[in-house]
Amino acid sequence: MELKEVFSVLSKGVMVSLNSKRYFEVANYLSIEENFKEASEVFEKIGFNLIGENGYFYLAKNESLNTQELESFITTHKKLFVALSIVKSLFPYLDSSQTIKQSQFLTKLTQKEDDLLLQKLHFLFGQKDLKSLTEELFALLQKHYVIEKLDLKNRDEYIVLNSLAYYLDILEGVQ
Amino acid sequence: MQHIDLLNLLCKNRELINEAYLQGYSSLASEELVKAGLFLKTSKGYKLNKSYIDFTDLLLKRVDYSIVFSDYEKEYKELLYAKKRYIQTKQSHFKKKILALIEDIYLKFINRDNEIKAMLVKMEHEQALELDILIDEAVRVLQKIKEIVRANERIQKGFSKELFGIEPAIDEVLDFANVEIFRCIQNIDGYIDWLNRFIVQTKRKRRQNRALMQLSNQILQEKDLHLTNYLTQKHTSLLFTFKPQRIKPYPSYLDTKRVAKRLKEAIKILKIEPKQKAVQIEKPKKEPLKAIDLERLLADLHTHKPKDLYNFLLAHPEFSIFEEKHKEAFKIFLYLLDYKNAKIKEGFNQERVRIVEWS
Repeated sequence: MELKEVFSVLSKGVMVSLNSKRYFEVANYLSIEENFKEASEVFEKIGFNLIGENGYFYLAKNESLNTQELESFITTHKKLFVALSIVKSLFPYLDSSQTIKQSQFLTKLTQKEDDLLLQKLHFLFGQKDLKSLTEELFALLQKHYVIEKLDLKNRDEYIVLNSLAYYLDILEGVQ
Repeated sequence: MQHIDLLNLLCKNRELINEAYLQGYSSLASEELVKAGLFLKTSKGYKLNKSYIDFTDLLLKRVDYSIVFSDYEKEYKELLYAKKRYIQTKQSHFKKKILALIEDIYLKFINRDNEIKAMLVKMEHEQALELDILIDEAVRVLQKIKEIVRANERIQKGFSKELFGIEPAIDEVLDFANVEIFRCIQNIDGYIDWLNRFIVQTKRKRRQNRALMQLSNQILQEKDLHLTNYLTQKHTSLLFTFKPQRIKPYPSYLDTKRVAKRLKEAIKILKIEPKQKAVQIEKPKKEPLKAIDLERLLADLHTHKPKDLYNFLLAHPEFSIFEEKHKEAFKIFLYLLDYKNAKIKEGFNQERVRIVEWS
């Protein structure tokens, strides 16, 4: 693993977690103190802060964001908070490294018949049937590196990545 | 009924007993099972004997949070009485009773250790209970375990002070029991630490979940200015998403099938006949080969030693034969940069090419 490979991953806005199969190599490389220090110094020179917390790593921009960037940045975070609140309503115990099944989620969602949950799902993805809403929710969480498929062939089961703690930390900060 | 008969009865009715164990009761139970005390008839049907359920739970390490921890008070009192009577009478009956009671207490220690261990494992993997209920259960269990610590210490001290030295056979059993009891007492400290950590973590999870619900409601109601401000202020330490990301969910199997069907229908309607293209083969044009005389150019460079190499090349007669003079001059410019005579200077000329001096 070389620094340029690390940058090519992180520069795409990826948050790499140590419990991710897909980005384990990058996260593992950065978990070594010397590598992390070297990478931080290099990335800082080109305008980024390398952040490494409880088993996850990402890049932050150390300059002010333009209007479009700021809007996208805030909207994405808000969507993720709403998405996580939906998941946590049905799976209150869910934590990093635990698994969650899309089919199980759909069953619980159907059984609960909770208007507020539906309202949140419609807020994120518009008026759709429960199956499509579930699929879009899982796609959103996967897109933002909160969950990852446990096995590429299995479309149902996902692992919760360490990056979940990133959103929970922001939550603590906001309170 | 002998023990072997009971085992045969269990084996013969294993499906029925298993069903009752998993569901809590059974609608069917033979007279034989009721007579043996394995099932009790209730208004709902037949219920498995509680003692059987407790025994099975213990062996399978499945425990209920409502388990009540008993202390050793009753056995200990009996033990002290038996000791007193043995010292007075020296009758072997009391000696046997002392040995049996020590063994009884020792087994209680071991069983309880297993029960607590199983209960903590269950708590760790709990998914079904509400977080509030789980926290209540954990606090209750912690309280009970703390009470056990006091009972344990009393027994351990009692064994050493009250029972040692009465009889070598008793000392031998005490030695064996003390080792195991000491191990259980040590385990208890670990359980208390684990439970304290577990309660703190679970309470934190409950707090986070509540905060998450509150925040998501605020986002929905557009009353989330505090979040916007926080994100704006802290953006230098938060994930930069680089590009607005579009969400593309995986198409469901039905969607894919529907699209494939429509495509097939569309292809049927279209009648596409392959067109024959009239191919004209053009002969390659003969163009005179244009090349510069590099030796002459180098000789001129050594003579004139230009301050701006690229401008010199543009003005040089060798390049006048080219239609795209700039392009050819730039190629040669790049080629000449490898020469020692080419000194790269700061700044750019009017053609926005780096100034290079020829020495």
